[in-house]
Amino acid sequence: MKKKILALFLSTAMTAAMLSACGNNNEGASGSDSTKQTLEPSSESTPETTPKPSQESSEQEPAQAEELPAPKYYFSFDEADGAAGITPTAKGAGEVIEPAGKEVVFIPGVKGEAVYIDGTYGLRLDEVNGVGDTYSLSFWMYANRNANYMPTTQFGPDVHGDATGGQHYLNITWADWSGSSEFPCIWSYDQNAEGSPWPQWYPETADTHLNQWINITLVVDPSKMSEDGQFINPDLYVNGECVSDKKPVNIISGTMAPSDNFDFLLGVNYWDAMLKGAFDELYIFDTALTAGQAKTLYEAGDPTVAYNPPERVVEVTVAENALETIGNTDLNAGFWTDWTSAYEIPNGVTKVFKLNNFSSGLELFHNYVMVFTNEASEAHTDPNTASDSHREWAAVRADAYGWTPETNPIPDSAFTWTWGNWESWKTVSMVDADVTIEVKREDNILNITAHNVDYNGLDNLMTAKVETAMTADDPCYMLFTCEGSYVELMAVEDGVDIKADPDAKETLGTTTFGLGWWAEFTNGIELKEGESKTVKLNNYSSGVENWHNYVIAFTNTQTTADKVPGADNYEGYAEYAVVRADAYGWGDASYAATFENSWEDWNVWKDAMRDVEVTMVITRNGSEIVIDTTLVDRKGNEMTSKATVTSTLTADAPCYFFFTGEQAFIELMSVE
Amino acid sequence: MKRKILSLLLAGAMVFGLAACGGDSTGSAGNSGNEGDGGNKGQAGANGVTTDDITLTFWHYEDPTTIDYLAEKFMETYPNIKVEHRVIEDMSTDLSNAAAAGNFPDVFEGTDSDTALANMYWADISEYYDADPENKNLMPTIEEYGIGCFDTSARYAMPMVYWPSAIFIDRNVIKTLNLEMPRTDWTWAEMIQLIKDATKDERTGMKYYGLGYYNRLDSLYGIAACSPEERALKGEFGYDGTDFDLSYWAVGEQEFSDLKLAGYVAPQQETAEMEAWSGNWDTWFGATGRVAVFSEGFWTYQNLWGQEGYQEQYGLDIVPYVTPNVIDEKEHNVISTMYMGGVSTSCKYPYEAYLLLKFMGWGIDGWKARLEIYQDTSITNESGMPLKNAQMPMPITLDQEIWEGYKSLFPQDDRKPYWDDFFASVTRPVPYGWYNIAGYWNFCDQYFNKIGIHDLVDAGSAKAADYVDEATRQANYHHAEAMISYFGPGGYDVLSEEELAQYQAVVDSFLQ
Repeated sequence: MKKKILALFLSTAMTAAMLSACGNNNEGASGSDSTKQTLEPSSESTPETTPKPSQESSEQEPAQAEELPAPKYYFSFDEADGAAGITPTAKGAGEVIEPAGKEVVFIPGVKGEAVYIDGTYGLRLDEVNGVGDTYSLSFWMYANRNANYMPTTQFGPDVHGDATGGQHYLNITWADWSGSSEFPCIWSYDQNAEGSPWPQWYPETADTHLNQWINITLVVDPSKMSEDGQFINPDLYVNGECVSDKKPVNIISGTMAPSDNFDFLLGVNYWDAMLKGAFDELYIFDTALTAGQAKTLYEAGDPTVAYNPPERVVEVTVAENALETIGNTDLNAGFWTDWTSAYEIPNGVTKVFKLNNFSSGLELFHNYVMVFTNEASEAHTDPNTASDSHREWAAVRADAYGWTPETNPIPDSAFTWTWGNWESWKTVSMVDADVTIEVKREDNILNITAHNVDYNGLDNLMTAKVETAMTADDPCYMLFTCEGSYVELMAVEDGVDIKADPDAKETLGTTTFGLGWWAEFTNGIELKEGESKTVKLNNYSSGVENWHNYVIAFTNTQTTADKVPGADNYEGYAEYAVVRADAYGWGDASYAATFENSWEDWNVWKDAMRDVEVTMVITRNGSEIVIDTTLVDRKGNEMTSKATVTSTLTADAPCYFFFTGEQAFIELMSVE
Repeated sequence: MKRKILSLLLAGAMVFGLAACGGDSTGSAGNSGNEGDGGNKGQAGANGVTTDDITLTFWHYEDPTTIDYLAEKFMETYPNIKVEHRVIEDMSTDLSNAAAAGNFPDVFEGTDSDTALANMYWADISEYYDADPENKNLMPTIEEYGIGCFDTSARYAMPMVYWPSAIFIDRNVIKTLNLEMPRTDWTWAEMIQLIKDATKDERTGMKYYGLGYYNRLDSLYGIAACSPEERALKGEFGYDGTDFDLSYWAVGEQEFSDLKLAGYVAPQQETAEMEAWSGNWDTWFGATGRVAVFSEGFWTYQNLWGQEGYQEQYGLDIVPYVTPNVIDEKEHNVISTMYMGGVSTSCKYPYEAYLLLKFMGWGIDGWKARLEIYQDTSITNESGMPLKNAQMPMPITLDQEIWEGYKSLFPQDDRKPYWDDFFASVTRPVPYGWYNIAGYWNFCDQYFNKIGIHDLVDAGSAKAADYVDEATRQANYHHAEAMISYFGPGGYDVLSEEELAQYQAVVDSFLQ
């Protein structure tokens, strides 16, 4: 996108009007003349409306639109200006953001076009860097959804803390700090600053401002500090009106400091749900705007413009790495015309199948179908022709419907499903769904759990408990067929069946992952200067989040499992560093870390961590601790990682480590 | 420590001891403005109320317009007392800042009690409370369970704002689904069955859900789980006044999570599930006309469904039901929101502050003033809402005149019998744990919420029963530790040696 940097020339007759609280940084006082002025925009000016002088007398003179300075960055988000420098960006598995592989989508905006995001990705403005502590940010936004801490704009020199080990950002977001969700809330954070300040601000009146065009302007002038001198008090304008005059906004400094790691994000960050809506007319100035200039920015847009999101277009993509495919990409295959190979379902064992399901969206039954039989059969071959002794135990469709030779149909009571709208399930979710099916056979019972995750991340869960005529000794195989759909079988795996190891030296949590953060600990183990220790763990994770795994902490004090590590229980206790399994950590004032991982796909890693044998070689050398980790997952796949951590640790200082974790079951098998 | 006086008329003649007005100021931030002051040193009139011109400050969570009016009424009765009030934004922060600044409120109510007790902010008001004949006609659990006494012999607080938990049913949905309305004195099992029966999915468009919830059913079940003979539950998590037993909670937790997993529970607002169901991210299930049973805060009726035209707009016909018990018992406890209020230890006029506390909370005169305000719908708050729709609590006095007036504020048409039965069934409130059990919030903060038990069980990745033993152990520990901290020698110092030893034994057992 070509960045338009337009000087905004307004009428030379303009005089700044002054507000008593916001934007009071111009020479001259408010005067009666100011309310009588009108604006005559020049042909090049951005504002296209003429502010109307206030007819009301009030104690505070209303601001009048004023000429804008040249912005440092300006994004019109007009289609004609292109999409260069605007990267659709999605939150990946864990705390990462990554290119979403989508095109920038334009829809009508408050002035020209706006950029649309559909809730599965946000935008990263790649060329934006910090402009210093004096800055003004303005943008229009239409939010079709909100959630706590969901970002509208989030920016900073090190948003995720990857470069400095400390997060440093400002987020304009929703929060329910007042008891109900409202917008705009201002949340800034500098993890590396003394006390890791995390000031937050919410408006006086509860309003989410959902489903409306809204203009936000934040004016940051570092000369305006809080009484205690700790924070900057910026001016915040909503639709051109100051909302921070009665209750000062506190933010930390440096949120616009230039950095090689600067992120400027719209509708997405590393942690929270993604926005669905649109952005328009985004400006970043390296000056502090006046109240009148904030008003100009508001009056340049037309908030009455209808919000018209584009219709979703589903593209059927073919995965080259699929194990098998059935149906066709025209999504018009008839029933019982194509089949996968049949996979054995041994009694008492959980098997996991992963599919991509593309449906025509025309009928509920235009999806995958699971078929259970008594014998193996080949792909693309009618299983009914496999042998004369062929028997079908059951067939179960994606839409919680099925039959057996004895019971047709299987009663609804055998199924549960979490979706509440079949129309959206059919036409929105299943047209492009990532499916994970767990099948566990218990004698004659088939227990099926199907997670149908749609483009929005919504997990449409279906369960079925199907009673069949087979006996515990009968063989059981499963194959897929489909109708009006294209189905890719991506993986067939053994499920996770956690069995506590009686040889474990220590355990953390329960096999149902009832381990809270910082709730259980192994005994501390000494790590001497120059020493290497080899630790073996079994790690079972709930698999929900990247951090639901083991964590290792390095301290100056030998701790024991019966007391929470901390200064309350151990005099002089201090942590050098805490390192999570997912290559993330923190530590003391000198903490720094580098992580090298053999895996690229965090989803693969997260799945592996559900049941993995961990071997860690931990080496201490001066202020440096190196953790070489080898992971062997339940399929025998091996991954490695290396964390190199430095801290205030010195060669002659004591050093111990212990393990903790969260929503995981961890068995400490050996330390040598 | 608990001293009784025969009549409040004697109060003016008394010189209040330290216990009633400040006590030992050591460790009490609230005392910072009143060091060594034994209380009211001024003149008292025949009614025992000071004749000095004084100002009392009241900090609260109520609608400020309502309190404006009530303060005016109070000042009409006591012209020499000026009342100033403000809404608390953050209890802990606001009060600690006030203590540090020396402008601590004379009377305040809180959304949890641990903050007030840990800092000895509340004074012992037993003398006034016990001598006040009006207090003999309150909902019985106040006295039976010592609500506001925190398992001590002293009274530190009183319920100021009372909202019982409530079940609401949309009669239109029941009619559409050809179901029968349940009896108003239903049982827990009957409610669960209705939730299941009213979940209808015709495999086209939006399904009907049996339940929409604000309050999780496990919270309600904790009080409704058994007969008093089996265990006399007087608090959440199976608390019987001595210790916890989370096995009761676990049954309700699992039942609720199973309902969610099986698709009987409507999606929450602002979720992808809601967007998929209703088409809009921010739809509230209570306005869809496709949910039969609601586990809601009582205030939801006043704030939303009770607003003029709301139900007509969304095609609803909402009636209240009592939160049922597992046993078929007409009169049973009901879990409730109860903001507790007390007189500050730093207050120089504790008797007058008690009168203000009572007026703003449970007193008959205060409620008469409230009813005047609520009945006049032309009086609105800053949002333009009639005050009866803005955080109107429920009386805890059983005074008949008050209740007649209160009930008149609710529908008088064919829904009246439901309301009458509902009001008759909510006279045995039991507060949520954080209002009346010392250390409850610490337990939640340090263990229960930290683990994320609700999320784990709701996701089906854990069973509630897995946590019963450890959670019970943790709850008992945090309670015992808090009792020693708040009421032992380092706190109010009202525990007997025997009580101290019992609590210490629990703490020691946990730490071993």
